[in-house]
Amino acid sequence: MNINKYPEIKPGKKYIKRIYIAVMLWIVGRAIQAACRVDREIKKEFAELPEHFSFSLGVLPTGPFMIISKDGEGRAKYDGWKKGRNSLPLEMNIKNIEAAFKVFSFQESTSVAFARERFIVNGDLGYALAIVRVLNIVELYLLPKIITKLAVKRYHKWSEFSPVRKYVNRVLIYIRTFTF
Amino acid sequence: MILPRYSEFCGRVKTLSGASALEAIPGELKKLNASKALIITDRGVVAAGLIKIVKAAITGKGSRLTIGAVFDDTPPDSDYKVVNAVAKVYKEKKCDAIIAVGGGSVLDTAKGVNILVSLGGDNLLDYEGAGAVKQRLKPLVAVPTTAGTGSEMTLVAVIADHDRHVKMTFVSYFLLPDIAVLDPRMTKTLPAAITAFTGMDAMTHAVEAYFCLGKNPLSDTTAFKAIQLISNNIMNAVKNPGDMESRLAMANAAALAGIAFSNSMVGLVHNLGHATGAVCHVPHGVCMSIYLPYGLEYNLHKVGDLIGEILYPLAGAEVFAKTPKKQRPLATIEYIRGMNEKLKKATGGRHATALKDIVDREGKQMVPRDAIPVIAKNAMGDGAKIYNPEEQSYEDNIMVIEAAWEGVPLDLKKIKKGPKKQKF
Amino acid sequence: MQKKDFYSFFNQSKYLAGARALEHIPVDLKSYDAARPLVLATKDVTLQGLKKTFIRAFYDSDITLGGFYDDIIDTAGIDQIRDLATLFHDRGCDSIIAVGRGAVMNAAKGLNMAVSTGVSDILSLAGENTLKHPLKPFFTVPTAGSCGYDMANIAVIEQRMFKSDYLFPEVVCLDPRMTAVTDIQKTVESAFVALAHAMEASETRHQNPLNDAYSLAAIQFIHENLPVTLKRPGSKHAALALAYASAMAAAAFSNAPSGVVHNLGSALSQLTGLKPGLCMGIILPNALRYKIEKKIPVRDELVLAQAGIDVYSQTPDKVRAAKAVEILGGLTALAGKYIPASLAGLKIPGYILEDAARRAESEDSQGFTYNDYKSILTMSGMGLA
Repeated sequence: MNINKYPEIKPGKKYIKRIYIAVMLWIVGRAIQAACRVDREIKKEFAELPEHFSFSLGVLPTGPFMIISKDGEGRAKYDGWKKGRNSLPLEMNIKNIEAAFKVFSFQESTSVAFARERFIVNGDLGYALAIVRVLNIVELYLLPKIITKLAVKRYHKWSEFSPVRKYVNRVLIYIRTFTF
Repeated sequence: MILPRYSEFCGRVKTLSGASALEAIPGELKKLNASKALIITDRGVVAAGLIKIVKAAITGKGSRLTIGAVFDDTPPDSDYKVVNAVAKVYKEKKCDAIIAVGGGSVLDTAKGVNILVSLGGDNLLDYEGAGAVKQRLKPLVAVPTTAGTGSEMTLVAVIADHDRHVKMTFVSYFLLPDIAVLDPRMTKTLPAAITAFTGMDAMTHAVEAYFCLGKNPLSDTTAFKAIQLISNNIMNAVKNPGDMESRLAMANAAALAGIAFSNSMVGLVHNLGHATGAVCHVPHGVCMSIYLPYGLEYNLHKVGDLIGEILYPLAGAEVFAKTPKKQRPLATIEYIRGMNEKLKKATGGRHATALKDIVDREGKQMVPRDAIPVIAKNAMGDGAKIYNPEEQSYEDNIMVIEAAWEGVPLDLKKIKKGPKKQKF
Repeated sequence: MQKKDFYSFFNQSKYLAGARALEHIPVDLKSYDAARPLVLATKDVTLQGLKKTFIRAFYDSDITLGGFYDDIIDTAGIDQIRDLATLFHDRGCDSIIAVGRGAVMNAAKGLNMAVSTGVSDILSLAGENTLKHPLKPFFTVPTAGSCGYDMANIAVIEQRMFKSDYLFPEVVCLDPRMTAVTDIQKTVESAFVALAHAMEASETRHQNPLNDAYSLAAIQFIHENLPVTLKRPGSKHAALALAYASAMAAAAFSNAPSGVVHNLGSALSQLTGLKPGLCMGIILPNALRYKIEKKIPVRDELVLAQAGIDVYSQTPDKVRAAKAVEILGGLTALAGKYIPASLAGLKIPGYILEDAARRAESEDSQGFTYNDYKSILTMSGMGLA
């Protein structure tokens, strides 16, 4: 048998999807930092997380990732897209780039992605749930209703989430996300 | 049958079932090249005389299996120090397999011990963190002594570090026991009330597995079988504890439900049940049976059709055919409430149907009304809520827990409903 | 000795099923600490462009494929397995992925025995339970048209049978891109093999709830989805469901003694060269009819799996077995273009049929005799002299 006929195959790269996800993670990361300063619910969620808490959300095996940590004043801080060697208190990883693309292109909501075993969570699941709640609220601000509806189980009613709060905060979060 | 867009299923446990299933252990261990077993169990199991039965069965005629040691001091909350100590015994006695006889904490401890003795080392903390277990471990046999938790079919081990006040979770398919032994002699002596609530615990696993987000074809069929077996046998097992056929059926049901829920995951009932257990120290199964009808009511608008289908394994073909399709979901809920009522009667009121009625051994109420907000808050941090079809906010939790506390049905109109039917 | 109610059930395989299932393989390989699989495939996998799909699924992962060997043809041969073992060692592989159906699965299982046990002549391992230790991680990616053994604990190499629980694939990855129907004839045949295996595994005498869970699910999927595939072969959803049904039927088959349809169908296929699925498809309804005639109990829950709870619960107890035959007849009629209704048109000489009945009897473990098998063949449309 001529074994050279069956060469070794090194994995290629999916550049476009990687870039898309990296951009999405950057926006979401910046938006969480911004929203934590604007929205009281998110502020409260972060206040209840332990001190020096940080987490990563990203794609296995090599990223991109998004790192968020809690700063000295108990607020969320976007810490970039590179993960250090040390493991964080909470790491939410999506198993592969395609699954991540499904999540970040809103074809699969977070909970559905969990149910379809696309995620691997290292760390306390209670923290992960807090982060999922934060992400849901951030999506509510960042995206129009028609898309957010795909990503959450139940879209908030007016009575639960006043339009004033929604639109005013949305503008503030957008400004803070995209200005430095 | 629904084929979801994507799903995973794994039921990698060899199941031995029958009135003399224990006797099959030596042969199976021989196939796995093991001949000296360490038995891990707890005081309650020993006091019930079950270890005697196990020992006799596995060292009987024709068996080459020897027992290296018996560790019978597993605490109800498995601790890593205990794990380290037991692993030392295993090594000293040169054992090559583990037999865990008991409930959840015994099995968790056994899984922890297995990690240590298979991967080497003398401290379980060295293996903390996900993904540490990546190879086959030593043969592990699970012999459940309650027909309910289904933990003999799960790939998780939760082991506490009491110094740091953390619970370490180890997840790996290699933590699945190699063999689960379902033998009615192990559950024969369970008191009526425990039989009732552990049975309903298994029922909850199966019912939730059938409509929660991770459902898949095989979790569906295992769940259906489990519901059918429980519905047909639970009353008999409670009323005639010595009926081996019913006991075996219940043990099978619990294992099937274990397979179903560990592959499909569970929702609101488990979410609130875990929280209630954590806050008020109520036994897991008791909470489950109380919350079950509420979990169904809460998700009715999203998965009503699926809930309606459950009527068949619960009540049988005749009732199912007679009930018009539209009424089936509510009939299912009604039927489960009816079962709880019957079990309450059969156990002299010990099988509580409302949270306010749960009492401890001294007759003291275990879930005071003012615990409701604490439970609701605690539930927000429990993973099961992800897999529930409908969203659960803190306010939703309060509403459900209050109804369950009083023991009155949910007001269906008050449930905040998401937009559409659930797609899988 | 064990009492009558004793049963044991085991299925090693984990199923990944649905959209982007292929992309989940790297994480699962990692959980075995494996990073360099050798991939085996049949030529048609490459010809249909599935090789590309498969390789693309590993992009952005840290898995290097030790090689993609796609020269497996009809049967798994011992020489080829030896070559493969060389390739496996040469590339420092640590696991095996088989893509395709039939021969490739057998070759992969053979290769795994060779590289894991170190035995130089794997044919010496033929038989039941000769393997004493687990093998290397073995994943399968089935394409449409499984032969029935693919995902079972069985391998057939050089016409020798190997059976061991260590031969189960660790992971069965069912991806709609791979399971799409390419050859409708093969797909239909494979569906009938699965149906025969599932129905026989769920039969009264050796039923147990776990085997039921697998076999009844398989029956249900086939009855729901085969008609869809016949009508619209392009339906990826139906094709995926059929592939899943094959996997579940294989698990059930691995845990039950072989039934009359399997015995007779395989014997007939070996003697005539006809496809096993074709033979089993013709024999299955007739065998069921024969059992009802002989008052051998037939599982009434077959109807439940075939037609759903509504039909089952509205059918009176006593006629459920007959109903099962009727529904099955409906399915075979739908597939009439691919599976003839009777053996009559196939022009099989009488002595071969007798041989088949004899061979089936020799495989039988459930008390069916030569005469039973002969009668079933007669019912299937061919009178024996």
